[in-house]
Amino acid sequence: MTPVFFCYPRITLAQAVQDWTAIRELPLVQIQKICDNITIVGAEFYPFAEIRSENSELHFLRQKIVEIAKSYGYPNQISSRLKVTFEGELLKIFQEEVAMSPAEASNMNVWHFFNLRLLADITLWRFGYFDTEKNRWSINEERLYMLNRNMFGRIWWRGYILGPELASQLSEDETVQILERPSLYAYPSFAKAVGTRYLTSPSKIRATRVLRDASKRFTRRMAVLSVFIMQESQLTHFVDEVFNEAESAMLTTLRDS
Amino acid sequence: MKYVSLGHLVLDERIVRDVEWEFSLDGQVTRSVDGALPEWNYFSTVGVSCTVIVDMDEARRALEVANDLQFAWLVVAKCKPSPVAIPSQPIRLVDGRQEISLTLPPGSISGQLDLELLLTVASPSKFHIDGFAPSKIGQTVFRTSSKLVLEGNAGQLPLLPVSFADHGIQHPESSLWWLRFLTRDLEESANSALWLWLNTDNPEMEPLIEQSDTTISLIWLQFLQIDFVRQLLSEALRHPDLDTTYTYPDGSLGELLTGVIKLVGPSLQSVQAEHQDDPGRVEAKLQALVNGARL
Repeated sequence: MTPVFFCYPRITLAQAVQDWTAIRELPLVQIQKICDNITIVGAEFYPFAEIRSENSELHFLRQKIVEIAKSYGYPNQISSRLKVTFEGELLKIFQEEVAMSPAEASNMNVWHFFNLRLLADITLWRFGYFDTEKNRWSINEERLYMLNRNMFGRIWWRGYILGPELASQLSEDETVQILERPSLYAYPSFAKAVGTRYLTSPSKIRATRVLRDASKRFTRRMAVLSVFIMQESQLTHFVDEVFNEAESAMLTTLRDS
Repeated sequence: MKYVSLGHLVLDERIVRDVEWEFSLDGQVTRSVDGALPEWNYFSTVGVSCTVIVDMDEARRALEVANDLQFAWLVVAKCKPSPVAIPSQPIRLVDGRQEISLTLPPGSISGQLDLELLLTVASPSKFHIDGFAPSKIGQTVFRTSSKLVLEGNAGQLPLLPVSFADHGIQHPESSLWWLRFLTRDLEESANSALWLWLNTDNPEMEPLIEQSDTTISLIWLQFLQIDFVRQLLSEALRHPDLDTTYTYPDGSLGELLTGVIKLVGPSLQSVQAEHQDDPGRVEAKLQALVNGARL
């Protein structure tokens, strides 16, 4: 059966920049009010959208995400570790409530809407800080505008490629190591095998170094070898072999130093 | 003639012949127009099929493999900017004409669709093999590609007005722009690897940001273009993995950097040597080429 996909509102980069300029000097409580009253009236959607998300669905989604954020301390500042756990919960919400197609999720304009209209307060709470000297918010622009690093889009893609369970066990750095190498890890079965195997690496050599080393080894091997033909057990064996090499190389380096 | 890649023999187009791609939209065979499928939308089912002819005995001889080693075909679809690859079911290689198909369900693709036909080892031989014969599962002995434009992206460089003061730049009112490399992965699309920031703290940049068609903004744009290409050249010269003899995917960072090198010299080595000897001369050459292209 063909899955049912919803299309979400879109805002262009120019509109997103305007939105950011308009909210950055506001206190979080005021931004929250703006987001609470967001509407799809006048919004642009994918021109051939079969089902458009409605105000009620967007408000429901917002409410759910804000509730989870509150359970983690929103609007107060919390530790980075807790913010990462919060994102683990978001992965599940996205899987349950956001029926978005990969085609739609590849369009940054959709994520501009999530990052700067529907959930701008959550974006700023997660990644921004209020500069009391300048009396305005600061945030790394990648979290607002870049497809692979923006606040909500990156979470959707993590859930889609790695699955919510595995994605929530990997740290930000670890996930970036995998998902920001699409020329290597574009095949979800392979990305999952790599993420799963990585989690079994001894903790003393985890710290992403082994993932970096393994990625270099995969790059060399995959210049002449394709993983698409491999069945799950063969994929696991291949990934295991490369990780074993990377781990022993790391352990030797650690011993020698 | 046999071709040796990194570690094993591969086939050329004389043994794998008459590769033809065909596309369908919602079950109806369709023609691509200038590399695009005009009727496509997110909700279309796209069928990709590739026909190919192989003389099996000739292929086995060329690859020096035993008769029990099995090969399989695959079609793999990758989209830009989506980070996902979708492979077909493997089809065992047989003698003569074959068709390999992949169905891309609604919602799965957008942007630019890159397709690759691969012939790989599906089941290794139980006999020990010497030399360069392919022997491991997944080893690819033939590949060819095609592409389709689904949605126009116009290949624009992402450009963003940003306050440089927010990024710790000292005296931000004098700074102009900042070319950011978000990844140095040469296979990655140049549009997602590069990000050009224009400084909103510098009042002189205002015409470029606000009124891009005024005389002053055109002068700025000219300056920006030269500096942009100069920074690309500098990146190309120091990138540890750039190989200008390799064919990088269309629109990739690798293709862009290779293009900049080829603009100023015949090879990476020659440009590196020339740049080491007299960097100013190389940059003057580059300025002439960038400005000349505009005239």
